[in-house]
Amino acid sequence: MRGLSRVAFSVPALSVLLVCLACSPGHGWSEQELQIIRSLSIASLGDPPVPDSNRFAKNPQAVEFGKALFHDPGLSASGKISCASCHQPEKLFTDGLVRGQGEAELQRNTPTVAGLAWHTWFYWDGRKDSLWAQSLAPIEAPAEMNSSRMYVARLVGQSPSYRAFYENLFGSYPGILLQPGKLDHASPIGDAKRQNNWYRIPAGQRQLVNRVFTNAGKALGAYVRTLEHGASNFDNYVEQLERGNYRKANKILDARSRQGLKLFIDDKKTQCLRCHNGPLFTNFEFHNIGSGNFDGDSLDFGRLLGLPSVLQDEFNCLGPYSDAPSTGCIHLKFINRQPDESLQGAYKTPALRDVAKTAPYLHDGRYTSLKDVLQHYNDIANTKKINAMSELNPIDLSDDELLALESFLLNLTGSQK
Amino acid sequence: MKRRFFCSTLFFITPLLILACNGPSDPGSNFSSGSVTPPLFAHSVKSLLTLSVIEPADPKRATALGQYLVWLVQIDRNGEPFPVNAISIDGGMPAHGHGLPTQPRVTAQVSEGRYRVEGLKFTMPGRWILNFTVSSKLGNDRFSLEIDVGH
Repeated sequence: MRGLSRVAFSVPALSVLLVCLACSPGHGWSEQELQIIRSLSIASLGDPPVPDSNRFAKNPQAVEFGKALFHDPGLSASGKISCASCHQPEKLFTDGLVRGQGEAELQRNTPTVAGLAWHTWFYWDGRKDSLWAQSLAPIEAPAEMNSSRMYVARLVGQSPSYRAFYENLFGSYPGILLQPGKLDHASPIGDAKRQNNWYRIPAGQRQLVNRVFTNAGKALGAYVRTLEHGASNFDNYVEQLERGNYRKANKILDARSRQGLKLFIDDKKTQCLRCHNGPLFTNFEFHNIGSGNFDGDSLDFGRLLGLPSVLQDEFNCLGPYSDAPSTGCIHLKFINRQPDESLQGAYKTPALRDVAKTAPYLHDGRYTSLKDVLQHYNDIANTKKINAMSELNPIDLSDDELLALESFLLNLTGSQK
Repeated sequence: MKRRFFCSTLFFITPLLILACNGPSDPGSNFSSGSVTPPLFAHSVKSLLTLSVIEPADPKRATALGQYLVWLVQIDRNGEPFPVNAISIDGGMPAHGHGLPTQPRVTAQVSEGRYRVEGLKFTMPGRWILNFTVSSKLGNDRFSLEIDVGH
């Protein structure tokens, strides 16, 4: 009798439990949507790839050396500007300015260097094809650090700590570069004086300078490769979805943000995923969103000139300073060398992780808020009149939908690593 | 008696509630489970030849997003492998008005009528067109593959 009573009591209890479970909130996504959502999660990212052109990319000493160089204003001609001046760690390695500011104002907005390890092309126009080659360019750019490869090569040899790093990693330092009479600033690019200085150096020594300079770049590249995005609210939401904790998941990403996510992955309504796909929310390629500047002082053709630049770059993956084997550099070997019209004014798709921290937006920093960026896409029918090369198709989102999309994007802010 | 009624009522109602509550959030409810990417195959313009992608055999692997792909393609005439003299590949994404980001090309003739194609990369999900223009003893001809790239 006692047993029966226990059963009689436990059946309703179990039933109530089942009712509660059954009525707990579902995730509300179709299997196809879930598959896409998973593909966007940082859990899908995997380890940073190892570039075949830099055999020191994973070397901890190279990372340490690169970090020291990254923060050293002594690399610049004025002694005041380091890589970190524009790529400020506390601003997710951006500067918060409309356009970068080095020795002079630049034409483009400073992109973050976090997460670059997964990219194939660098700069807004992809004119470099490795982190190490990219790291060297601002050092010699007159408007940025206004320095030169000879200056940096000598600095590495003169500084006891840099020289120790260098010789541990790359072998003996070519002491001939420190002989009296060597010119402080010499480079094949830059002003006429620097170029004259460069070509007065014997060819063999120029190669030595390039070797030290590119080795310093490989250390810089090794350090920048370690800068990653942290997990965001969105990633925590996906994690809870995977665990079946839908109630907890929905507390992490509120209804408006979930509406934004649904819009973001809706190929018919927004097509955001066409370019902003994968766990970094970028396909790493070049697209025309009608933002090119084809007249006036800020003339900027984007990838149209980035393409020949990377092909002609002496520091590219196929060049003499690359560590890539003969089977490597697939990205250059199979690059489409014949640009079509849409590359005029095309720029690399920016990652959307931490997008709230990387304002202002677009290649020229023309938009100060995400609202403005989203409005750009919503107004594309008008923008097309200005730039016929735009790849975008018109969309028509309501104010409420735009707010939802913005709300979702704000949930991509990660805890910085 | 009341207690027995309560128990049995819950016992019968519970499954109904479970069904009712699960309805709208069924994970598979909006998914077209029958959708399968069609094999990568095309007739030539002159309808004399066919082209098929032999490897990867799985069309989803053959059209994986954002990866450098290697295909083994076979050209046939009347069901038999048919050698061609030259193959040129181009294409793009009509909906966005751009061409291919890479320049894929034949890197080897593996056997008669079979060719290795390297350098393919689909950088966006959506519909792509890939044209294979060939010359052979039958003259010039062209295949157009329509490819749906998913996530």
